Amino acid sequence: MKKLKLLFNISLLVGLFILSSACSTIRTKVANNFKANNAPVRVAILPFNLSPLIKNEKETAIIFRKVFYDYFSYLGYIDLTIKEIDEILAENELIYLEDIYLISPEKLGEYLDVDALIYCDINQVSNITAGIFANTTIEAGFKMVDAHSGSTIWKTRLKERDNTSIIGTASLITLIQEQIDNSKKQEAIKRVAEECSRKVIDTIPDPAPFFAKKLKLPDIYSFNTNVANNGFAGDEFLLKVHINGEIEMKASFDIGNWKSNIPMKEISPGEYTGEYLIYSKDFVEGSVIVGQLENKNGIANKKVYEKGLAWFQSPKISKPQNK
Amino acid sequence: MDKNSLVKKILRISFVVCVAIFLTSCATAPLRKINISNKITQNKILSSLKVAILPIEGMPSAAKFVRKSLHVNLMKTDMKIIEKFLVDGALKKNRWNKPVDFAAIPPQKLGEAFGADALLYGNISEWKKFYAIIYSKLTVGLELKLVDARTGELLWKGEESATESEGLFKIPTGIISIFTAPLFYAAKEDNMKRLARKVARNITSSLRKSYKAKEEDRMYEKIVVASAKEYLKKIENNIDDQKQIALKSPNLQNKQLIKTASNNILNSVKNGYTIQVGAFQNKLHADKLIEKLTDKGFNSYLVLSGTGAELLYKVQIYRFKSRKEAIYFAKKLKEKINLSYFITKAKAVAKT
Repeated sequence: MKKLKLLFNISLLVGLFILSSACSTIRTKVANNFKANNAPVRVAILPFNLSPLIKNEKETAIIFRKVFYDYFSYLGYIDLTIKEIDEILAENELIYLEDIYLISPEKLGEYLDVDALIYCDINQVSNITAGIFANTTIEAGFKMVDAHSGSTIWKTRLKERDNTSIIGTASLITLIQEQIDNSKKQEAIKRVAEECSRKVIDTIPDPAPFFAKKLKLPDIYSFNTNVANNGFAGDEFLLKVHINGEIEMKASFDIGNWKSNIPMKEISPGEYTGEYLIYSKDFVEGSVIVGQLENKNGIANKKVYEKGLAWFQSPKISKPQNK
Repeated sequence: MDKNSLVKKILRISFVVCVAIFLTSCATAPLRKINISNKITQNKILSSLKVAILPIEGMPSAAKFVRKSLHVNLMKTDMKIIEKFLVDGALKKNRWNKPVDFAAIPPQKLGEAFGADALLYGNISEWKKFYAIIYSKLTVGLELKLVDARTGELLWKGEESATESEGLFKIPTGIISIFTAPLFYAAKEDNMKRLARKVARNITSSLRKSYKAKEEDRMYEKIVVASAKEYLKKIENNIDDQKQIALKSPNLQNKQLIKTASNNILNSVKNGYTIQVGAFQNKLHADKLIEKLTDKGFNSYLVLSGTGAELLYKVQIYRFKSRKEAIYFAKKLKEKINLSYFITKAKAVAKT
């Protein structure tokens, strides 16, 4: 009888322990016709929408969106930065959420130049700290919509709860710590938002393995500079760089890490030139010249000029001789 | 209860408490060591860097998770983080499979492959669980370094190790909790992941707030990784060799350059369209035209067509993905060099 009682007590404690810890419910649906080879490439995460019943939680929506974006960027989609999205929306006078959510996905896709849009509706946000009990909850619904057809590719609904209580916590110090952590509202919300984002991201179909196989960097056919066999400069030296490669790319070059992303011009289709004037006060020591072509998705190809290193210095300092 | 059994009970409890204190005293404060280059703190180059996070060395399941945590935390810095699928695709394409081999590859080569300005290398130095009935401990350790892909310079280095534990010293809420708390704590995989996230967040904090770097953490000396030094030395030796060749035979140097340029084209566009400017039965005439075009700055190459008496040496310039691109370029070419041409489909080339 005593043993039975002990067993019952242990089971009760274990059960309460499990129930009192963090838990979530998640429901996901992915479109039947979704395949990696027709997955959207460029995706924009729109500002998160708060339910009208939730007051004074605008900050939560902003934090949540930023956290979600950080996790989403890990997937195999080319995502626009939040700053880029907000700037483009503002340019098109879409500042208020109501306006953004009323406009068609096709129109939004056109403005943002993306293949898909992610919408989020936050239905519940709560943060309670009561000494022996603490809880932070976020409930939200997400969906990814094809910006060309307006059809839903993926949607999910999630309720994430972070509970702590005197029943479920095995030690006093942990209980006190969790109560203190939960009382810092922004941090608690961020923690739960991270947990939400992590779980939601796992439900999103990830075309990364397919895109990794089909990876294509912008072509660079040739890359030349006038530093070949360069010795010493006088008072100044005009460094010239020439790339021949894929047309209509964004071209730039670096002089080691001394000067980066020096822009180049496309003088004829696929031909890019750039130059940089180096003065006698500059000191560039054995630096490689690196050329780059970047496409509109931010995918770049770099080439190191292997026929010479840049040594530019004032006449007073001499290049160390090879032993 | 008689005196003897009470004393024995007290002694037993004291022994347990002493063991607990001994075990908990073994818990160490988190180890953190940061070295941050002057280039980051003074020149603020982080915002201009495109960073590729390489696969982490260590236990595969842990390494995958840690890489994801690092990606998420580095997204909060000023650096642009290259998409994971780009890095993995390039690694697969170049057959660079094992993280342990990355150190031997020149960072310039890795940077070329990903289009990166800097590379983040990582290693899980610790991933341990310890359980001793009334006490359990989790330990996660990470070592990271950020290397400039252009110069091979070490820009930042971080080492962090953190421990979390559960046991008697945390004042259990019941007798049963003394045993269940450490057990559940060690068994729950989420606790290990949470600790790893914490370490990833802490170790990258100096990159999020580089302006707050302490004086003792700053690196003033330029440190270049070994593989980069070798690569740069190779380029320097190449220059010296070419100087020697130029001194001996200027024509031979030109031919070397032509061969290099042609091979570059061969290795880039495999199909598509090209501009043909000549077809000769005599290879010498074809070579002369290629030399002339190279002097004018056009990368041209030789293609063999036919066999025996019908063998032709065709001279072609560039390769384009579309016919439209080739036509546009050919019109510009005609303005510069007065040669007749036609657009044709690119085929396999002869080795020059």
